[in-house]
Amino acid sequence: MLISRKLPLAAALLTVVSIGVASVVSLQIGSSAVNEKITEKLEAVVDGRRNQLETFLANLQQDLTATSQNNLMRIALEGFKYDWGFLGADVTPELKRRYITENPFPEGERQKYDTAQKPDDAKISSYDQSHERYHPQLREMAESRGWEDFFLVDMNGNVIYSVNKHDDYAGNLRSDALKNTGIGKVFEGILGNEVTDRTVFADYAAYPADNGKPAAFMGHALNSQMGMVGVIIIRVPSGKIADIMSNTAGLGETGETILLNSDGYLISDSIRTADNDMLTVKIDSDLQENAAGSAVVVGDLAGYRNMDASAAMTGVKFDGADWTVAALIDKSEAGASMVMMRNAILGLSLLLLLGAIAVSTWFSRSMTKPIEALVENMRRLAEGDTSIELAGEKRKDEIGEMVRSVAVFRNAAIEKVALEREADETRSQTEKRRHDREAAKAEETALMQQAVDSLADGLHKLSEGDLTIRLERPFIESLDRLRVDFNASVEKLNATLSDVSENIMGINGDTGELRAAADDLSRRTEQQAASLEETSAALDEITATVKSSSQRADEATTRVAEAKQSTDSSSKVVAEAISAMGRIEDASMEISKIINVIDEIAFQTNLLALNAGVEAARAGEAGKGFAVVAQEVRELAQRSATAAKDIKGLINKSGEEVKSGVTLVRETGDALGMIANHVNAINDQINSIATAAREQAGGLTEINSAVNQMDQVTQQNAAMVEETTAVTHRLTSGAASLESLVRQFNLTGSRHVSVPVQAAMPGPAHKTAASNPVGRSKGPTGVSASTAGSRPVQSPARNMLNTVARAFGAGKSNNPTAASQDDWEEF
Amino acid sequence: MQETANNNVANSGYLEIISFHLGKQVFCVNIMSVREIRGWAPSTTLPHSPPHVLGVINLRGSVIPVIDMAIRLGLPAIKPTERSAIIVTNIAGKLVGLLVENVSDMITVNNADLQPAPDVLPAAERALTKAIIPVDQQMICYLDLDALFSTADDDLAA
Repeated sequence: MLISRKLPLAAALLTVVSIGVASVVSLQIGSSAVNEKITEKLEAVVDGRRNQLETFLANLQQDLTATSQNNLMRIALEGFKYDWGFLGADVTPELKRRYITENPFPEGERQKYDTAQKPDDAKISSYDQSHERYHPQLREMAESRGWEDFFLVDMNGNVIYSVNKHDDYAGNLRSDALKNTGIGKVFEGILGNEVTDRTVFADYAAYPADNGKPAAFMGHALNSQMGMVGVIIIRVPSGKIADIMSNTAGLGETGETILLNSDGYLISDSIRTADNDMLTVKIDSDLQENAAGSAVVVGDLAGYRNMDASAAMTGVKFDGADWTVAALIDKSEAGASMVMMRNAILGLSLLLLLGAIAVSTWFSRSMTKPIEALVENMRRLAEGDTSIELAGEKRKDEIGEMVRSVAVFRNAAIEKVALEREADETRSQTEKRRHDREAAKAEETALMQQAVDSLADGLHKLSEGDLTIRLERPFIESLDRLRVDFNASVEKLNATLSDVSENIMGINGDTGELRAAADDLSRRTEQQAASLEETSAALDEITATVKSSSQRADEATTRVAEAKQSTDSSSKVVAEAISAMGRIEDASMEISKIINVIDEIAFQTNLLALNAGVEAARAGEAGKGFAVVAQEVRELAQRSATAAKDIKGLINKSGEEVKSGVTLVRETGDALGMIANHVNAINDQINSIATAAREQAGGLTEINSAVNQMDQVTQQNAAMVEETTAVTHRLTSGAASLESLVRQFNLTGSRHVSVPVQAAMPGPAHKTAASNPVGRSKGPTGVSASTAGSRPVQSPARNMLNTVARAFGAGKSNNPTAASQDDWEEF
Repeated sequence: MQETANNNVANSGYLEIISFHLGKQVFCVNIMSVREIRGWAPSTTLPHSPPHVLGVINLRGSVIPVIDMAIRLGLPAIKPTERSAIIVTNIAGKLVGLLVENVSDMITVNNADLQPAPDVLPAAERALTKAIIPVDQQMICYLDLDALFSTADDDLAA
């Protein structure tokens, strides 16, 4: 089978398999997700309805309980009971005649009839009056609460009042007709069991008094202080329950919620059917049995409304009734989205399959076509045809590679033919050129020999110093440049040597100036050295002064410290004096106390003496002597009192003196403190003077080092002057020898200068060496240092430095080089 | 006893007195009517007593009233100090303490030196001063204790 058929087939197969598997799996997952969602929704709905229903029933019970405690009910019951008694034995047919058969309103609207009393009736019935009084209120109450009917029943079971006036009105609930109905069961339930504190309920059943319509009843005892006096009963509002159950929000087109009694009959009318379904439609399902508790059960329900439905059920228990709330939805509606999904996937798969076949066919064509063309071309190339056209060289796949390889074979075949043709043409041209070259060579050799001879002659003359030679005859063209260059060289040499001769004269003049400058420099160096000496002397004096002021400052510091000590000890003395004064004060106080005691004793003594005098006086003559003694004692006491007073005065005075003494001593202490402060201030001042002296010493050290540097520079300058002199001399002799060399040449336009050679004239150099205070032993050639000799001479600057250093103690002279460099020999 | 004292005065021609200060004024009483002189001690105030009755003190077991002499004689009240004294007198057989500022002296005077009090006051007030005794530069008022406390007794009785 051809590749062009294989490829599309393989692609189609692959597509079918992958899409098939993917769609089956996604349909599976989708289906289970949708089912789960529907189940959840049904559960939520059924749970919600159950809660609504329970709330509604609880409210109904509360309403009824509240109504039973309403005074109006008791008053109305008592009123109707009283009136009932007046109507005699035929009360039932009489009331039925008045309010049912003679009721102007049709059945179902009988409640609108307020009273059977007519304005023209001669006889006035008290029942009719009570009915007229209470009926509108009770009717309004029943209608506002949605109750389908409302009954007042006496203890004998007589229905003495009902709102809607059905056949049960004015009947007896213990009669055969009513005792097995719901209302009869409620009455018996309350009365038979004496239930006074809660409601009693009868489940839905067909009610014969209302044409067999389904009805449920709820009753409550009416209690007074004496006990139960009657019963109120209501017919449960089925309409309100239907309202709750008919909410189909979220249940789609077919879903609904229904309420079932324990036998499986519907007790709420389905809104999906036209007929009333109450107690006529029955649902048989295991689900209901499972849903008895409060748990929600989910499952399938078949048969109801001819549907195959999904349903969720849960139980509602109320006062003996086991009800079940069910939420259901048709499976076909629930699965509708799944069918749509399946169809969409199938359509999409078909489209994908067609696309895959088309793409794979085109792809296989694009591959097989160029291969066929290449096969044809290769066959022609093998037969020797190089004119083949190759398509697809630029493709980047394997076919491109194959085409490029074939192209290489073709190009190799074309190139081989071209090379063979070129080789034949080259060989014939080479032979002709060789003959022409040999003829030209012989002529050239003769002309060259002639030029070489002429050049050799010129060079010979030049070697003899003749710079006037020129080569006039031209050489062969290729060598004529040699001749022109020779002539130019000789000309240039001639000019150069003339310039050299002139420059030598200039050099001679400059050398003279240089010598004068060296002399000048030498003199100035000498002056500098002298100045340094003076500086050294001045520094000496300054150093001495600074040292002495530093010593004075130290002495002053010592004196100040002593003064400070003295003031400190005096302040101690002052403190002691103050405390001594304090002690004197204390002692004075003690004395004062003792004096007080003495004074007291004197007073008491005086009193005793007075008493003694009194006694003596009373004794008459016998007491005369005693009276004298008493008088003496009194005088003594008075004297001691006076003395005590005097001492007290003196002590007070001395106390004041002590006080002023303390003040004075304190002032002395303050004055001493101030003196101490001043002494401290003086101490600070002296310290700053000492610091300044130290700083001055530091400054002097720096000046010393500066002078030292200046000294070194002076030394170096002296050395430089000597070197300059030597160089000047060498320059002079160099100029002379240069002159003699230049003379050896025979120059055109000669202008030789005679140079005054002064090889043996070291005058200026001599002078420099002699005037230099610095000893020199190694002068340059011809410079004598004999006058200076080799004696070491003290440097004035160094001398000064040493003086300064000595002035500032041993610490300053620790520079080892200072001593070793005293000698200028080193320079 | 008063009569005995008077008799003594009449007989001997000399009179012994105890002088004391009330403010700057000097007064005296007959020494024979004095029982004792004691230092000042706080007294127990009696309810509803007149201003000059300071209260009562305990004199060795017997309760005696104390009179502020300054108030009694119509002078500014004395502020008792440690140097004040109570002169215990026997007036008509009853012991009465007299608070005085300062007991100054025990003097013996000649009866002839007693000068009658000037006749310028009503009889009741004049009766208080028995005589004026000039001693040295001082004028000493000689008090009649019986006259002084005949009314005082009434007050005490009241």
